[in-house]
Formats: sequence, structure tokens, C-alpha cells
Amino acid sequence: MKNKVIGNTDIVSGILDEQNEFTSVYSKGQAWLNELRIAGKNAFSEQGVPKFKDEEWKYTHIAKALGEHYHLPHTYSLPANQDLSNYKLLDANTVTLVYINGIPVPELSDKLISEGVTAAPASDVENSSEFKTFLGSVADISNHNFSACNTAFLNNPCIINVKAGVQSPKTIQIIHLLGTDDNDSMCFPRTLIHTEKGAYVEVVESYYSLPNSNQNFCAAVTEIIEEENSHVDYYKYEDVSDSTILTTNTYFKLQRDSRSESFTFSLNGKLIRNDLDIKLTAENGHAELHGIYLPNGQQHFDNHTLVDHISPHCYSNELYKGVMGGSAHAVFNGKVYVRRDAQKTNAYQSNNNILLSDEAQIDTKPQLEIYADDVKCSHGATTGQLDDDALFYLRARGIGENEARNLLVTAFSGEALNEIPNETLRDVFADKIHRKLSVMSH
Amino acid sequence: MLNIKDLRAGIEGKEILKGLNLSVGEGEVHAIMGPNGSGKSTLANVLAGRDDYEVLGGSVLFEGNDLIEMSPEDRARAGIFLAFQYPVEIPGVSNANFLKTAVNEIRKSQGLEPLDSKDFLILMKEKLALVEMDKQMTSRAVNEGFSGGEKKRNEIFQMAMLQPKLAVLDETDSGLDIDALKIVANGVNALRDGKRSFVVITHYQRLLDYIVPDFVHVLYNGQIVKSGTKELALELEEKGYDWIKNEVAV
Repeated sequence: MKNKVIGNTDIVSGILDEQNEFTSVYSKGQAWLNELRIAGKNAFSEQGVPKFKDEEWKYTHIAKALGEHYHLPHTYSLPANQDLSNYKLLDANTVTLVYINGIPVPELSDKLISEGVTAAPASDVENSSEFKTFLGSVADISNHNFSACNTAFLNNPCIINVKAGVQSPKTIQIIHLLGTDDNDSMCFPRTLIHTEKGAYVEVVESYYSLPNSNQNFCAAVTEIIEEENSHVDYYKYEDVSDSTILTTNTYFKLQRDSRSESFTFSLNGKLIRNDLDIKLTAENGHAELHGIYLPNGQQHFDNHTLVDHISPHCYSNELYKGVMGGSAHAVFNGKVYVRRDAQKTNAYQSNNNILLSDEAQIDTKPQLEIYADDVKCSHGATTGQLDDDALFYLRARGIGENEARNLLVTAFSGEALNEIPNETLRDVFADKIHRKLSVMSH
Repeated sequence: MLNIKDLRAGIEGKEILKGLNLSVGEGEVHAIMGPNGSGKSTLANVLAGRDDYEVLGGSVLFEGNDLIEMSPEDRARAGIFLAFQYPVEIPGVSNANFLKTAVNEIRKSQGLEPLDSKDFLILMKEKLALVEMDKQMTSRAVNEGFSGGEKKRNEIFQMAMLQPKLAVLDETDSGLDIDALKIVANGVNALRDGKRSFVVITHYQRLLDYIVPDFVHVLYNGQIVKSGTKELALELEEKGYDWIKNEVAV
């Protein structure tokens, strides 16, 4: 299923021009990244920007949303008096790495000093070329336009590595700050997470727009490679401005006996598209993937997930919940493949939606393709409105209409929230949900 | 306390209450009986303020205030409580959280400070005993997976927690076995304090053996066609509703 559709040629040639300029500057730096950049550029120039004829982008007209010209930002500095604490989701036991438009900012970032755990920009990692075999190994640049585009601009990726048997005592939060005060900037954050045999790490990747930033576009890619019996908890938190277009491609590759928990929380943005690909490549892999999306007004949030059961005895469990207000539009597309060899697979998928207004919209499509014959699989999607009977029941007990709505929607999203292993984050996210709900229009 | 005058109301364009008059004084217990389709549930829903029901004419005053103009939450805050015929299941909202929100919203409307967790737990424990409910029920989602009897007990428990001035019980006895019925009736009787008023809507006389009313009214075809004391209920039990229907026809 190759995307042969070339999008708006103006934007593509504009991005490629920027890439040429970029290469002339950066190819001298991290030389080992050069080959990847060239491959990414070639793949992107072949694919371009997806058009709505592309089945994978049927409901998300990103070419139209993007418009025409984008350039790399010229300034990377944080505005004066900017308080980073607004962006930190966890306080205790957390190491924070700050990236502005995909470029690391060492003076704002913590230095991680922990035996066996690396979390730093590639430029600060000794022998960073050791990661050559991992970087780009699971990102699918031949099928994912924006992974290709991101790879074309590879510069100084964030590298997280946990040595065999090490349980990282610190949570790593990457704060991505996006946008500049000039129009139409673009950026390409890149992260690689690698856990060696028996290792564990918790990573929070969060995306925010800089204050007063104008229309901007961010195409982020994260690759997570888990060796045997390792475990990664990965949270993606998206709270960007109404003039930010954000695409994320997240790839997991799970080896034997490894486990992943991912949670994707889309809170705010003009257009957000998340592609999450999980490959269960060896026996007894366990993947939990959950998410919440709350678009309001004119916002458009799209989640595409793919769980590829390649090997037998693996387990996947997926629950995404959406609440749409105003004339927002959400898309959920969840694919589960169970390949012929993947006997004894357990795969569960569920997507539930609530439309708060008549103008809000959801396109949901759960897809299950099973080629093995001894599996347990289920999938389903629901879309509804708030239960009028429940709303009346609460009001008849003296609870005001807004508070009653809030209680019901909080309860609805709580089911996905309860899947979060980190209780502190669960509370932080519950609070974010509560705040967003109070401004959502019905 | 409650004055209903010439109330006409219906649903989906169909008039069901056709000029209903009822006056409930402080501390009184009124039973409203009637055959199916006579308008009993319509009356309960109109009093609680359900949107689907349309008031076509007449007036409902509660302590002198026009009830029809008030939102459901404002009615509850003013002291009206409806025990639902079919209590609604609310997944994901715990009984305790729901009640705490309700108690504190009502307190707020009365200018009172919210109850802190400790006082709330003490209050809850006391009221749970009233309906012989296990404390575990409060951590479960509202009515979710409750049996029919548990749901009705939960309604009385909520009533005890919210301490309304006027409680409307909509067929609270329907579908209950005799043990559950006694528990529910005991809960209600414990809340009879000479000031709180009750409108007990029921199809069967059986409930009135346990909740003894001061007045009994027969609702038929959208109007109260006969009123009396508790003996009227016994007469109805003996003769059935056809007797009333015939009498009205004459």
C-alpha cells in the first residue's frame, strides 16, 4: 500500500529547497546521519504530502490545512521570563530535556546522571554512531510521508538508552516547544528509545506551542526498540496552539517477553495526526495502547494505530476514547493484523466516542485482519451523545447542568485514564481533561 | 407546601394530565393511586422538571414559588426529591462521589459551606443504616449492576442524604419482594418527621400497609377523580379500578 500520490507540489518543493540548504549546513556535523537524511529526502520527494485520495488520509485533508510555504525557523531561543514549570507534568524523580523546534536546548535541560541510563541529544552522546543500527530501523519512510520528511531533516535526535537489566529510576520528560513569531515555520523532532535486555524506562513526550507563535507545522518521529524482556511506559501529551499542525509517527518494536504501555493524549491543536505502529516481533510480547482525544471548536484530531501481531502468544489491548465539542472533527482508525504464524494471539480493541454537539463529527474505523486460526480477538466502536436520562438524574439531585455534563464525560474518559500505570500522571491528565471539558461547547 | 391547580401536561403532543388539582401541606403523606396510563408517572416527571414533558396549562406552586419555571437542579435545591421509578445507571461515577457533589451543590445553594470528607462519611454511614445498605455500595458506580431492590433502596438512601422538604416516590414499590418493600418503607417512615411531606405514587395498595398515608387520591384519565383517607386504598384493593372507571363514566 504505497502512497504514490504527490501532494501540493509547491509545498513539497519548498520543503525540499529548505532541506538542500539544511544539508549544506549540517552534513558536516553528525556525519553518520547523512545516509539516513538522503534516504528520507528521496522517500519524501517521491511521496510528497498526502492528499485526501490517499486512503490513510481520507478524513484528514492535511495538504489543504498546511497551505503552501514552510521554512525552518531562524530563532531557537525561548522568550524571556518563560517559566518552564508550566510544561513539566511531573516533578519528583523526573529528568527534563527541552527541545525548541526539534533542536536541543542544553541550558534548559537537566543532565541525567544515572548508571546505565542515557538521555541526551546525539551530539552529547559518546559514540552516538553506535545507535546507527537502531535509528531509522523501525520508522517506515517508504509508506509514511512525514516520517520520510522528518528523516530528511535529521539533525540531532534525542537518544534514550537503558543498559541491560537497568530500571531507570528517573522518568524522562521531553518538552518540545514549537513555533516562532514568524509565520509558517516547520520542525522535525526525533527521538530514539532503546531498552536493552530486561531494562525499564518511563518516558513522557510532550508538545507545546511557544507563546505568541504563529502558524507552524511539526512532524515528529519517535522510535522505540525494546529488546528481550524489557519494558517501556510511553506517554504522548499534546497541548499545542490552535495555529499548530502536529503530526507524530511513533513506532514500537517489541522483542520476546517485552512490554509496552503507551498513552496518547491529544488535548489541543489545530490539526493533530498520530500514527502509532506497534510490531510484536517475538513471542510473549505485551502491548497496551490507550488514548484520549478532546477536540473542540474547529479542531481536527486523527489517530491511526496499527498493531502487527507477527509472532505467536502475544497480547495487545487498545482503548481510545474521544469527546468532541463545537464543530470539531475526530478520526480513529485502528488496525490489528494477526499474521499466519501468530497463533494464540490475544488482541482487543475498542473505540468509544461522545459527540457533545450536533456539528461535531467522528469517523471511526476499527479493522481486524486475522490470518491465524487459533486466536482471541475482539474489536468495536461506539459513538453516542451524553445520556439524557443520566443527565436528568444528576440534575434532579441538585447538580447543575454543566457540572453534571462534566461528571458524565469525566466518567466516560476515566475508563481510558484508568489504564495509565503512573498514578500521578493519571491525576494530572484528569485535571487537564476537567479543564478542557469546562470550555467545550455543546 | 405544594399547590397544583388545573395542571395540564403531556408528552409528544399528547395531553395526559387534564386539569389535575392537588394540595399537599407540611408533614402530610398523600398517596396517588390509579390504573396504568392514568398519568401517575407524568405527574412525577412534571414535578421533577423533565424536559420531555410539556406543561400545557395550570400552575404548580412550591412554597409559593412557580415550580414550572425552575430547572430540575433548582427544584432539587429548593427541596424537592423524586425517587425514580427506573433509577438510571451511571457507569464510572461512584455513588459516593455523586452524592457528595449533590449534597454540596445543594448546600452551596443554601449558602452553606461544603461538607468535608469526614463529616460526609459520618452522614453517609448514618443514612446507609436506615436502608440497611452496605458501605461497599457507595464505592460502586451509581446503580450500575444493582438489583431492582438495591436500586430502590439507593433512591431512599439518596433521599435520606439530601433531606428534601417534599419527596415524590414514583412507584417505588414496583417489582419489590416483601422484604425489600419493608426496608424501603422503613426508610421512608424514618424520614417522616411531621414537617417533611410525601407524595407516594403507586399502583398497588400493598405499599400503603407500610407507609400509611394521610390522604389517598385516585388518578384516572389525567384527573384526580376521588379523594379520601387510607380506607379508600383498601376499597380500591377490594373492588379494583373498574369501579372508579364506572363511577366516572356515570
